[in-house]
Amino acid sequence: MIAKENNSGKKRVLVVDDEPDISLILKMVLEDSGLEVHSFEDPISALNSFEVGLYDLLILDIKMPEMDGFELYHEIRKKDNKVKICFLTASEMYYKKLRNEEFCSLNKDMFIQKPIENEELIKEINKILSS
Amino acid sequence: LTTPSNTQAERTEVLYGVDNTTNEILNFLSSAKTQMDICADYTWPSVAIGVDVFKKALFNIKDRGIKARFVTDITKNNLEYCKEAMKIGELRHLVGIKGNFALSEKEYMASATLQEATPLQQVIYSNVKEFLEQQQYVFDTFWNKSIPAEHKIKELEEGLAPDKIEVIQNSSRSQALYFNIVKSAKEEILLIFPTPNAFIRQENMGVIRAIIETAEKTNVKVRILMPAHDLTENSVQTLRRRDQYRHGNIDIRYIEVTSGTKATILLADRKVSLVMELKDDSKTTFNQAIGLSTFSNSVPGVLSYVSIFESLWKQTELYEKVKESNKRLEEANEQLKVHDKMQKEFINIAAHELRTPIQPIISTVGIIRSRKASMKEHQLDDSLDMITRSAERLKQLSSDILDVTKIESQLFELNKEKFNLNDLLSKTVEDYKNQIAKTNMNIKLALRFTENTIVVEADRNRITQVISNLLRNAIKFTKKGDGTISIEVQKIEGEGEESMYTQRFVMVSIKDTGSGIDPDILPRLFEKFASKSFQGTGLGLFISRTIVEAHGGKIWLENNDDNLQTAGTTFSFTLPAISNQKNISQQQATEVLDK
Repeated sequence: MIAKENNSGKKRVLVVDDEPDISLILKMVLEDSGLEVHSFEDPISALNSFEVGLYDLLILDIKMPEMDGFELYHEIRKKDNKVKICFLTASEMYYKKLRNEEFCSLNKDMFIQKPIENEELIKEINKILSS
Repeated sequence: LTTPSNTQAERTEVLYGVDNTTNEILNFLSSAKTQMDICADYTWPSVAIGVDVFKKALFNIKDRGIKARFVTDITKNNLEYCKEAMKIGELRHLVGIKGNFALSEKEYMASATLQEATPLQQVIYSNVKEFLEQQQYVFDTFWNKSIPAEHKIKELEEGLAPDKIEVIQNSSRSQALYFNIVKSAKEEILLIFPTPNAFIRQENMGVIRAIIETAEKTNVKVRILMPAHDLTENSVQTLRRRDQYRHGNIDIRYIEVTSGTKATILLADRKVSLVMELKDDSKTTFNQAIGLSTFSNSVPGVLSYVSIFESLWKQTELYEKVKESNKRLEEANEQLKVHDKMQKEFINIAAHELRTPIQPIISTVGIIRSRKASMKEHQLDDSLDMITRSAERLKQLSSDILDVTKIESQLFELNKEKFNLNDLLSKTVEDYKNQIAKTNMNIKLALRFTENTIVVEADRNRITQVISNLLRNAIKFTKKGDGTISIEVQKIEGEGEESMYTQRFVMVSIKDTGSGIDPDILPRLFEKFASKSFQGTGLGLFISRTIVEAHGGKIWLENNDDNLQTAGTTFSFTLPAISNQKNISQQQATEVLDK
């Protein structure tokens, strides 16, 4: 069980990416920047274990088997319409087209394109966390 | 009425009996000095020429230099007599002429009836001047109304009607003529309908039925030009179907309705035309709708219509061709669009697949840089492994993309050599066993040969590539990394490209216990980008198929069972086999195998 109260004072982030190497390395990078990071390779498990108030930010991959990042986004929004969510994707199409069409209401900062340098990623994440 | 016989005296007399009449006629003929005008019905030529005494007397007239003029009804039956009569004097034709009379410059003879090639029973004689003048007037009138015998003879001999252009005021006469022309056509009917209504009216009138009958009975070729319209579509389709089963003599094409076209044009055998002008297209019957009609059998006029018809006909051909090529352009355009969509899709997939492995490399390098000395040895090893894995993935992807580019630009080539396929399989399977051993997966690879040596002539690297692709797929779809992959090699007999002999093939099967393949995707599986997997570009199987087919083999797959979750899949491919003795000695083969 993850403690609901964040005693360390660190911001808590959830990473969902079906690529094991990516979820692992993102966890390391974000932990090195002083965040508490949980990661899932399977979007269904991520959804099942999600609880309101647990996280300050969700970082979702888009192209995933079983449930893609957009579906996961909608499912989580049903549970929690306040938590910050951003997408981290390598897809060209999702990044450019769907951002405009389906997610036009979202802030464009909510999309971060892979691959991204560690410093750049940390900067983007902190910007979202402090917004 | 009878007056004494006197040359000077006026006399009018009826004579009876063959002898009397014959004598009187011969007298009449021999006493003529300057003219002999005879007007008589169709039997006359047979009497004049067929009765010997009359013939002699008539030729005698000619010899005496007397000007002879004959008007009669020239028919098929009296044609030969008429030709004889033409040697005596000028012969003209008047259709259906009934009166029988003859006029010299001073005498008149007539007969109520004539019998074929027989002397006469009864004649009337007169030399009354006033009567002669009156009869001369009648003769001259007939003469002027008649036509030269040569024309009629030509018509009879060639079946030609005399040249005529006639304006028909009465639409029911047009209708009768319309049917007549259609029914008597011998070779060809050309027809232009100005409006859909015109077609419907004339179909109701029975003309279309008459055309079909003519076409079917006498093998007349019918071509119809008409505007396309919903109202006529059914009739046209029925007509076309019916005709298809019969002679294929009726051809219908569509023309544009132009406001200028206001007449039904009928052309038969390129000899007659009937142009029926449309007075009121809103009327339901032919008789109400048609105004003036023009009939013509005058060749220049009819041929002009034929040439107009042919131009329109050709135009529809061109129109059809333009339509056809437009359709092809549209299809090509569609294909281009599909191709374009596939290219875009490829770029999207390729972009995703190229970018994804870069992230672990960048991030890991970043971590190593920032942590440096603080990193423990096993952490460093893990990091280096991650970089290696990602780099391998990029290497694989770049080589796949390069292969596809080669295939699509037809630069794909094989470097064939002879080798033992078992040897290659053993080595490849061993490599994968080692790779699996490094992971936490529990996948067994079982390789089974039916023969020790199976020699193929193939591109060693490309075949390795196919086997690796299939093995990687099998491993990827083995759920939870737990299961067995069986690889089997065997020789099979198969139909070669030359069916004269059965060619031997080597078949390699790779059977997994994975999740099976979605039946929806099966037919497209070996095409580009077919993958439903979330890893991979969907290029591996496309490349594998290209490699196998380039060797003359086949590649396919089957789900092992209908239950996709448990059954798994078997991928198989074949390569043409080479008999061992001929190409590689058993000993050499064993040596190869031993290594």
